[in-house]
Amino acid sequence: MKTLTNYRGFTLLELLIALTLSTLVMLMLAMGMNVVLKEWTRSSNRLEDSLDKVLVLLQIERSLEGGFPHTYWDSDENKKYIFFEGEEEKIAWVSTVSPGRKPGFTVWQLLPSEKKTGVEIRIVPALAGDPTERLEKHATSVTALEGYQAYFEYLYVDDKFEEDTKWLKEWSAKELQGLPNAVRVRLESEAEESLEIVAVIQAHQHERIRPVKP
Amino acid sequence: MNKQTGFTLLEVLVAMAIVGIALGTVFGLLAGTKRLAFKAVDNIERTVFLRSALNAAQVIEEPDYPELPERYKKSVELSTDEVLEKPERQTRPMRLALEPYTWRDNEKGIELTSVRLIRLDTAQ
Repeated sequence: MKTLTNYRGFTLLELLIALTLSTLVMLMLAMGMNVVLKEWTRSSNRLEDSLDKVLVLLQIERSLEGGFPHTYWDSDENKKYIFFEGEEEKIAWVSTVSPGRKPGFTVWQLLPSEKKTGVEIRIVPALAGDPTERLEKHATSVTALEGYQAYFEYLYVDDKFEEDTKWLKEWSAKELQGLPNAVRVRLESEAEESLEIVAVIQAHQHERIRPVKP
Repeated sequence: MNKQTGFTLLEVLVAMAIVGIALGTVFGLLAGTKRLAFKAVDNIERTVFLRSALNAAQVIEEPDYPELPERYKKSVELSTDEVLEKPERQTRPMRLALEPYTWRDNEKGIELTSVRLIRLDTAQ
């Protein structure tokens, strides 16, 4: 009997205490791990979001750089106009760049999204007529850059008089008969830092139509 | 009853150290990822801005445009290099030259370089 008491096991109480303690430690570790994982996903989401944003920005930049003085025939006035309508908060232009690398020119439009905050991108093939109406009705539309509001500025470069080079708030090719030398897109957001794009338009002059000085 | 001894101080210390190291690693990892992600996002945003400045310098020689955002104002600068060599075979004097230029963000060490056409005062 004596040998048995020497080799006795743990009592139930000891076992319970040991189990509770180890459970507590495990719980603490698991909770820590959970916090880390959550934080990890949050950070990587943030990173991915900003990479997505940059991709959209690059696409917009590229399509602005491919801007082209595309003309359409206004049958009411029997006159030819270059299409490029730039306002402070929206812009429509014709570009040689299209998202799917389709042949032919594409009309692009950026405007503040109506349903949710963000920038709405509309795309429609450029044909012979005035694209304004088709942009309303037949365009493929995507909303990107959630939470951002875009503001546009248009650069006029004067080769002869340097002091006349300036950024304008509006640019209508109907009046100015040409494209701006560059477009600046400022993206403001309440939650995040602002971003911006400057795209230089190389083909800003039509081969025959002479531009008007703004 | 005599035989029942508790843990020694050493044992307790070792146990605490092990638990501490485990927890420390976990939270260190947390801080690390967070810092890394913030740094990456900041770098991306700076590069976006620098890229737009790079493009602006294509058309305006020294863009004092745009009202540079406050946080970039101090750290961003434009520098230009010597114009590139003339082409080997040139049939007539030219007033245009290619000039390499660099936008540098001194705070993060981001550098973007490009080449632009500039007008020379005298034809060469």
